[in-house]
Amino acid sequence: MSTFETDNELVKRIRNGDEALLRKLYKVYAAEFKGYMIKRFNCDRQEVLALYQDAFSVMWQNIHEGKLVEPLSSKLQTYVIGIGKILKMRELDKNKRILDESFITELESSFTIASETAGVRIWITKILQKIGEPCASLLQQRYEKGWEFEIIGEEIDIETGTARKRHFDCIRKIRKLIETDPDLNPDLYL
Amino acid sequence: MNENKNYLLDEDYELIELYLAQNPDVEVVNRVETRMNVDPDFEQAVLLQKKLLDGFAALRYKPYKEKVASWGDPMQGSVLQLYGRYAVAASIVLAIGIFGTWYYSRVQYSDTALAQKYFTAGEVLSWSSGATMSAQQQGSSEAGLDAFQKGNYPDAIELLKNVDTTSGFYAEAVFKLGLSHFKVGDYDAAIAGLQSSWDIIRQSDKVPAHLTLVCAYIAAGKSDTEAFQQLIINIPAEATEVYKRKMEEIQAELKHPLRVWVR
Repeated sequence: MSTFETDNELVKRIRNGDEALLRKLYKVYAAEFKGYMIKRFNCDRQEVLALYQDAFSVMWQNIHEGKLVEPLSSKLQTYVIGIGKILKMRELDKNKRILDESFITELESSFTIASETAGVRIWITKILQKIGEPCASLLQQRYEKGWEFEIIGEEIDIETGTARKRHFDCIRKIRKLIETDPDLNPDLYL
Repeated sequence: MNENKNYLLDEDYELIELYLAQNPDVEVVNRVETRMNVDPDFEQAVLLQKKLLDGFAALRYKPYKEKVASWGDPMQGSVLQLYGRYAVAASIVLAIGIFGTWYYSRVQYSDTALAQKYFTAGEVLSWSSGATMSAQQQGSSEAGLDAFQKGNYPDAIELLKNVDTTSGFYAEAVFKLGLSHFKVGDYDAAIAGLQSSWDIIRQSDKVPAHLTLVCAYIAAGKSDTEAFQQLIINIPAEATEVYKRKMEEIQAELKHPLRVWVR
């Protein structure tokens, strides 16, 4: 059982949509995050704010999407600071091995780095525009909303197996598009 | 990339999805990574799928980030909140300090407090000297003096105000009538009684009567009057040096800044 019972309760409330709690935590966690980032990385105020908002957003998204679940292996505030560290370290392009805390190692693969997402977002938006319907909606239902094929099938009134086949056909179509359209080359955006 | 990529089956793409999901099964990981090592096209499909998932994760991330950004700068807020808490604490301390000083001044320097302070000191200093006659010494015939001795000042007032001027202890009676008025807080009556009989009183009880009158003036809020100023400088010749210093002390305390504030 986690030793962070209170924080486990916080995660549960956030997952259930308690936005007032999130806003309170956003204020409460800020001072320690700022102190740590300035002391460890000598960040300026604007940079700390950007990192904090990114880290807090990732924490929220991870809870909402079930990537951060109870029992926690660290306090929630430590988790946010841990994300901030990773963001900063990736930005500095330093050896990540100096981040020796085990929970941070676990964290690293659990989220997309906000400062790196602008390009990815542009790329995926272009893909969806090019591929058009019904693939765009199908992929968004599958990857943005996280729906199972059964739900997608019910939504567009087709068999589950058909939804599954259409979905993978769309993936194949994307591969072809990338191959034929230089503007969709992911290396231009990532 | 080449045409071979199209040989990948739905099952292959499904396997890639499982591999890239949160906490993939060990068997899935082994299968995918083994195949990636021997099948470049499969590896390319895995990498592309990872990019697609990252792209959609970025799309999902956007509303969270926008919402959090709309909450503003909590760093600034936290500093203000910290200062705010200090400001509230300082205000409370300041308020307690002001109230405490006011209360202390009120207790120490109000007209009544000042009069009571010197009146009480005067009781010890002066009229314990035995200069006056007691009711017992007069055979307990005068009930008013007896009531005064017992501390029953309302009865003493009623009885002493009717004492016959021909009585042998009339002087003591009018003096103790003044004291009784003072004791019950009727300072104006004490002043009027003592002043109207001043010539009689001063024959036997000059110093204690003077002190009583001074204190009655202060308690009645009449320390600014000309009569009081005359009284406090015309100290009876019989007064001791200690008594004279007390009068100077009273004059100094009447001018104290805290007394001026609480008045």
